[in-house]
This record gives sequence, C-alpha cells and structure tokens, in this order.
Amino acid sequence: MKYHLLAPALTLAFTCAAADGNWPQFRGPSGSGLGDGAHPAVQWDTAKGTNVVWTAEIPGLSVSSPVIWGDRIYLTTAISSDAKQTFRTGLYGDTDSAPDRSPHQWKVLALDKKTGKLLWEQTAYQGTPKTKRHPKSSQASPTPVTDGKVVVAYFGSEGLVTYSTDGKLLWKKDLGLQNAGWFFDPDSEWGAASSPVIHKNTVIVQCDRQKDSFVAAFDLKDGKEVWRTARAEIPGWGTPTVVAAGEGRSELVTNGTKAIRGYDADTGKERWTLSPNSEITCTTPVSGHGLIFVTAGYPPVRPVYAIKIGSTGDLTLKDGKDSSDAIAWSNKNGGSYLPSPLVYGDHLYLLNNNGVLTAYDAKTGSRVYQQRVGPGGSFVASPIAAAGKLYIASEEGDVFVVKAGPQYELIAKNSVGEPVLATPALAGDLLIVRGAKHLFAIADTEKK
Amino acid sequence: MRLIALFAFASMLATAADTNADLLSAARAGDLAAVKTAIESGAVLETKTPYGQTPLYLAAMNGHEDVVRFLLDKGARTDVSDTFYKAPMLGFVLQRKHWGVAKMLVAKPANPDQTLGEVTGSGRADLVETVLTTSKPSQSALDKAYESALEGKKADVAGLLKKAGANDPAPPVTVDAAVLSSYAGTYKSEQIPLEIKVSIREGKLYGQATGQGEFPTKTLSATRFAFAQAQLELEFEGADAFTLKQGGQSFKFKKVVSK
Repeated sequence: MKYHLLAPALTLAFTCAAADGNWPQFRGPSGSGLGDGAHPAVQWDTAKGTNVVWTAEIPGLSVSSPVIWGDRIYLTTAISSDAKQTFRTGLYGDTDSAPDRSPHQWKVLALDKKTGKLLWEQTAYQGTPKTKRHPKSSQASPTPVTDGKVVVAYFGSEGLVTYSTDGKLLWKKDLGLQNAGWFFDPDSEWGAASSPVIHKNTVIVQCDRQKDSFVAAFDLKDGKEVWRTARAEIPGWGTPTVVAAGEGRSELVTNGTKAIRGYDADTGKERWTLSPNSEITCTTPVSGHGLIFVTAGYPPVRPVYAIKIGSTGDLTLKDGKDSSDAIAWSNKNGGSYLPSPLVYGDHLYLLNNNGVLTAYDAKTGSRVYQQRVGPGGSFVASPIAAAGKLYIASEEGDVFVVKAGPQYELIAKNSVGEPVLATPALAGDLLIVRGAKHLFAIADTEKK
Repeated sequence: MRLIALFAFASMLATAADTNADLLSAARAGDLAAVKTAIESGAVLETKTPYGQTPLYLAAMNGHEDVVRFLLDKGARTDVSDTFYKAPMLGFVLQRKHWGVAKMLVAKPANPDQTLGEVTGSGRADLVETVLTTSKPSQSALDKAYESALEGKKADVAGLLKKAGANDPAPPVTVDAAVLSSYAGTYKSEQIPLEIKVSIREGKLYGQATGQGEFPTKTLSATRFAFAQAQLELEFEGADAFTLKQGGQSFKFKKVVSK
C-alpha cells in the first residue's frame, strides 16, 4: 500500500468558490457545497416577498438541484400526466415503490438568473417510466451538470442527454435499464439518483444497479464512450467526486456498498478500494485538508472515513483499527444516510435525516458537537455553506441558517412554504432554493 | 484423469448454484412453472439469498399465493428470518398486506407464540382465529395478545382471545415520580439506526422512535414498561440505559440527551 501526502493547495484548486457565480453540478464546485466568497441572505420571507428576488413556478416533480453558469440556471423535471402525483415526505422507512405508472415527460429547463424567466425548455424523453420511483423520489432525481458550453442531464433509464447552453440537442445516449432499488427485493424500484460530473472533456456517470453496475465517461462533444469500468456493486445513489490526486492526476471517488473506490478519472482504472460500507449508500464524497471524506448511514455499518488523497491499493482497516497510513481517522457508526457531508473551515459536518447535526474536527475526527437543528424534522437535502454559515433545508420547507464553527448557533429559520427535498444552489450572492413546486431566488436586496 | 474429475466436480457445483439461483429468482417473480422446473432439476428447497431469504420467503413477501402453496406442500420451512433485518417472513407479508399468503403461513406456525403476537398486531380476526385453531399458543402469549388487542381497540380479535382463555391484564404499577422522571431523555442504539425519545406525563412513560408516532407504555415495575400493541418492552438499567425487547430480539439503548 502506498500513499502520498498532498499539500492542501492541490485540493483547493478543485474547490474554487461559487463567488464567480457558477454552481456547475450537484452541490456546486467539486460537489463541495461551498460558496465561499458568496454572501447569501440570512433572512427572508417568501410570503411577504422580503429578500425574494423572484419566484418561478416549476412544473412536474423533481428532487434534482438547479445548476448555474453565467446568467443562466438549468434544471430538470419529470412531468407526469397524472397531476395528482407528489412526494411523500417525512421520516419513514417504507421500501415499496411509488404507485406511479403514468406517462411522463422528462425535461431540461433554462431560466434567466436575474428574472427567473423561462429561456428554453426541451423534452429529452417521453413515455411510461421504465422503472418505478421511491415515494420520496422523482423520475428526475439526478442533478444536471454544465461547463458553461453544454448542459448534460441524466435521467436514469430514460438516458443521458446533452444540450448546448442555448437548448440545441447535441447528443443522446441510452445507458440501459437503471433499476436502482432495494437490495433486499429488486422489485422495489426507487429510481436512479447519482448525478453526472464533468471531468476535462468528458461527462462521468456512476450507474450502480441490480445487475451489471458500471462507471463510464463519455465525450462531451459527441457522447462517444471514452472509458467504462464494470463495478461489482449493488444499487447505490451517491454522486461521484473528482479530486486532484497529485502529479497531475485526477481521481474519481465513488461511494458504494461493496466498497468505496477511487479510479483514475482519465482512464477509469481502479486505484484503491475500502470496505466495509453500508448496504445502502446515497451520499457524495467531499474533500478538504488533503482528505476525502466518505460516509453512509444504513446498517450493518454507518461509517465515516477520512481517506488520505493519493492512497492506493486495498485501504480496508485491520480489525480493531480506526486509522492507518491511508486512513487519517474513521468511525463505524456516525455516518449520515441521505444528506451528503460538508467540509467547511476546520470542520466536517454530517446531517442525519432527523436533523441531528454533528460537527467533527476534520483533521482528527474528534467530535466537536452534536445538536438537533431547530426542532428537528425530516432532512434529505444536503447542507451547503457560505460566508461562515451553513444553509440546511428541511422537507418541511424550512431553511435553517447555522453559524459555522466549533459551537452550534442557530442564526435564522426561514420557510419557503413548501417541501424542500433538493439541495439549494448558490450563484454569487443569490441563493436558489427549489421547493416542490417553485424555484425561489433569494438575496439580501437591502444590500443593493 | 484427476484434472478431468476435478473439472467435472466444479461443473456440477456451478450447475447446482445456477439451479438454486433459478429457484430463488422464480419464487421472487411468482413463476410457478419455473419453480417446479428448478425443484425437479435438483434445486435445494431451503437455498438462500445472500440475505438469508429462502424461496418461500421471497414468494411470500411478494404475495405469490400459488408458489407459496406449492412450496409449503413441498415442506418448506416457515420459521425463517433473514440475516440482514432479522425479520421473520410473516413480518413482510403482514406489512405488505398479503392476507392470502398470511393465512397459509399462520396455518402452519413454527412458533405459535410469536405468530400470535404478529397477527394480533395486524388486527385481522381471521388470521388470529387460524392461529388459535391450528396451534396452541402459551397462556403468556394469549394474555399479551389480549392486552394488545384491548389497547388497540380491536374488539373482534380481543373477543377471540378471551374465548381462547386469555386472562384480564394486570393493573399498572405506580412508580415513584422521581424515579420515573429520571428516565426522560433521548436514547440511541449502536445496534440499530434508531433514536427513542422517552418522556413522562401524568405518571406515565411515553416513547417515540425516529419518524414514528408516540406510544404510551404500561408500567410493569419500577424498571419495566410495556407497549402491548407492538409487543415491546423497555427494561431500564439505571437512568441512562435501557434494553428494548421485541420479537425475541434485544437492543441496547444509551441516553444521549437528558430530558
């Protein structure tokens, strides 16, 4: 087993902030959730319109996040022909699929960032969904990705599609049936949710399903497959993360049940594996302090791993050990289930589905605090951070603003008046919150 | 020659594994013809998935009555719990409301006490009647089920259990208020991903698990509290820990937040 200690600067290069107004993928730059340099509003009132720049009604059902580049916001939705279809929110553990077999339209939308006005929309696919969805999920759960030239949307079984930023179809690809569902009963289909990421001139998708899982890269220009690596995996929902791994290399880090894995992002060659992990994995790896943090929150283990970037080989810890040359620290039972982790400043933040927020010293793994956010509730959106604050959205439609740092302090609670399951996005000082029916653009209007 | 023999043996093993996989797949899909073919080809009746599910388990949890009937006739075991959730097959059957399958399974209960508890929770008088006519649950199981039915206001079920000889529930015990209030707080288990909030109101202990409704308990002693409807019991070991007992399993909980 080899490992390299990297200067933190190498990873910082990948987490350039959203201050330039771009939030290109799920959770923004490098999936970090960080908008440093941005100063989003702390308080707003959607009912009175205080600090609400605009509100746009979004048709259909989707838990995907908006992405932002320049003056445009891109997002996806799936519109059912049955208008009654909705999410079932709250804390529950049902495993059955949603009873929704109505014909759908899968769409990509582009909105003007300043006004919320619809600039274009394209229907990527229409028909009866090829797989079912979880009652809390949608037929359009993966977040699109953009590099400012193209927008790529992944709709699971309904394919991968790329448009120019003006809405012209560039290419489409059918990646086969993406029947991601319950490991225990493959007939319980929950739908795909892993979001695509852009690396250099390729878009990478992680397709963990009941059979023949894989991760693959496609040329952004024409959709031609650049590489594909088979994964001995069962269904998973986490978005992969690309990190700089030194010596000019980039590493693709994937969450997964059988193993957490690192691949060469240019070739798809596997570089390292780490187990054990939860039987269901949903979160996105994040990096900081020369470490990559991976977590999962389902039995039989709910681990948190802080992996030294650049490690290779089988990184699995020896029995009874919680660190090694390759693992800075770990614990077996602190992992979060749906919300992805956040590294901000010196701390790693993990949010449980029930709203319990745990802060760790990112370098050592020492627990700094554990606190229920507000009165609790149900949380699936991942936390994001900017200007020394964490923004945490609940399914009940509340966005909690918590001071970042070693002591928990709730600064504000703002309601958007409808369920929030999508992770919010940041564009400069503009906070974009996707509710079940609307997109809310929020900013401190007094400041201007 | 030895190499050929080894190769032949390896091929036989691979074929057996394929046949077993075919049986599991057919049972899950409810394909009776394929189930019969797999059994005739030598598939093992009690073969298991990596999670310990047998063909009967899979057919039952997916509500395939004809396959369940066939496998029961072949002698498939009903007392199977999976290795991941440790859930008996009847648990998923009742949760998914496959009442026809449930009736077949409870007609051959491997553990009458446990089966009676499970079907009482479903509130289905026909299932309770089947258990009572095809097996003989213990007096203790009858009493617990009766109390559960009374608490859940399931009059039909309670009537059947009373007729079968269930005793009236004992009155609750009164516990010192200071002792009772010392139990209040939030508890977490290392064994299962669940938090339970314990609160005290008007001399009664209430529990509330993550994402579920609050449940009242009956005080059995200064340290034991029961919720008959869910057939669960909390046994406190001091003011900072308790053991949750349910369905023959025990889970340790430690207090993480007081009050």
